[in-house]
Amino acid sequence: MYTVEFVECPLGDLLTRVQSLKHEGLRFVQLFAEKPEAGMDLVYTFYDVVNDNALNLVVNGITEESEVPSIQGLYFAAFSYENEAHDLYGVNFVNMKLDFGGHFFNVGIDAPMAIISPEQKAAREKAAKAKAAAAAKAAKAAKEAAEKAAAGDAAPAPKPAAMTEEERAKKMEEKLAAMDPEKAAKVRAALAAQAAKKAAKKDGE
Amino acid sequence: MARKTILPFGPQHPVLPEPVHLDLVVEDEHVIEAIPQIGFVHRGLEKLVDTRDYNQFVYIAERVCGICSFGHGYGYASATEHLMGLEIPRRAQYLRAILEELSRIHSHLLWLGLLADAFGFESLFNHCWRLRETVLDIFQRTCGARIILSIVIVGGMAHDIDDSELKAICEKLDTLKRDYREIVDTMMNDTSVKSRLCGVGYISFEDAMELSMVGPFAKASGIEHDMRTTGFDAYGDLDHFEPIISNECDCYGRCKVRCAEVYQSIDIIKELVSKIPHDGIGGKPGPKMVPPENGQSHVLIEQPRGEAFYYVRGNGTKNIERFRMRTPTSQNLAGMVRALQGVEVADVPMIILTIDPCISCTER
Repeated sequence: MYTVEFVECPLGDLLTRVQSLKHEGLRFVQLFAEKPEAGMDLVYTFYDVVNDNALNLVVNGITEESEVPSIQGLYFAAFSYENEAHDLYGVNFVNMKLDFGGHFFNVGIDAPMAIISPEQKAAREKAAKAKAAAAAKAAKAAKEAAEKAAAGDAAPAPKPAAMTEEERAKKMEEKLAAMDPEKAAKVRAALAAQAAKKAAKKDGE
Repeated sequence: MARKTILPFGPQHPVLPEPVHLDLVVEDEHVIEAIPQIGFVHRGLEKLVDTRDYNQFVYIAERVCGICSFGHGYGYASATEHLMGLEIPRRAQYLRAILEELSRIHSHLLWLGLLADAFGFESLFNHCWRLRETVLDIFQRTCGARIILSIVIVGGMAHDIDDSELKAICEKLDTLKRDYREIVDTMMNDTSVKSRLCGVGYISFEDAMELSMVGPFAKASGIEHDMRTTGFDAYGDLDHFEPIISNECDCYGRCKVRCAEVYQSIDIIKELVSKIPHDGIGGKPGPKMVPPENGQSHVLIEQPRGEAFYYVRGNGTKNIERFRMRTPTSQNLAGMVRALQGVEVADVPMIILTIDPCISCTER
């Protein structure tokens, strides 16, 4: 089985790095663009057939103004991917050997794949919320643990006494009084049915 | 001195099953340069990961192409499983490899039929597609569908194929092998076929390396690159696997490689069936399991047309943040451009067909 590696590469070093990979005899596999929150990322994949290793060079933070050097001079097979990244993501490549000038893919709008859809935006917000909630929970747990440690071997707090039947019924009445009357009637009916069922079961025993 | 003319070829052309356009710069009858253009049927399927959860997307990945459909589902599911750190039972891995090899047979038979049709070799075309029906019948019997199998899920297989059915598949493949040998021997030794293919569309070993070519196109130029040699999934359990190569570097070499790969796939299936374990087929991961945030993974598998790349990146929700599929045809476009340089216009259809470009895959 082959191994997979992801390595970050600054935009300025891209051409030199690709040149050295070509010199080492790595095969070009593909390149693609992706659009995270800010800017754009490019991922170049190369395959080392000797060691069975797939090396991914990740170039982060590419903007519409960034001039990305073309690697077609080293790996001509990159022409379709560079033109694709230009047409679908708006990446600005320079010194392309085969440049279709934005007409490789006949798309109706510029950089259609770089548009963040409402669903993707919602998913990102949800992920951010989940991350924040997890961080808050972890912080709270750490704080409680620290407080517990500070209190030393103090006696644990006594558990609250269990509610009696009367107290439970009183609390329920208070809740029902605050409810919409129609809904409260439905809840009362359900409670009565539940009580009747319970009584019938008791009689049976 | 001859005048240069640009000859538009495609996207609608009798020899092209799918829309690709080529601007052929010709001088008399010779092609000086070929400039390809695609994008006529681009569907933006990669973008659909935004709106589908990672389990649903297997079915979209399968619909990228009608010929490599199983492989796309398999590649996507494998990449997602790596991303989520899921272990797949060995039986599921074996079943995937068996179905992938059946897909290879089906793809190569379809291609051989199309090539025969382009020659005007109608009887061979009919025979190839008749044999292909055997594989499609196996798919229908075991998966309930002929093309879009929908049997792969993230986490394993949707249902099992029992041992008696696997044995029946081997028996059918024995019959197919016998019939296939007859038509392949006829075709590969035919004088008119040889005259159309030998020495045409030459790509040297050095050029194939330089252009990072993949699949039978590269193997016909002597490159021993096949992802199955890395032993991923069940391929690691094969006693012996060596990619089929040819040093002819021309259209005839490409045909030889593909024709021999059918026999090889039959042998692989029979070996896998004889070794298949019984440890279950896995199942969908629990509802609380989601691809991890910023986790990324990719897999490389060997599709009928060559190495295919599938990349996924998670965002901590049920949706995948980014899915990327690189199909063998995208990688071989550069080789196709090189192979067309200097050839006669009449040979262009043959060269394109022996490269076997799949534009649906490229225009995912």
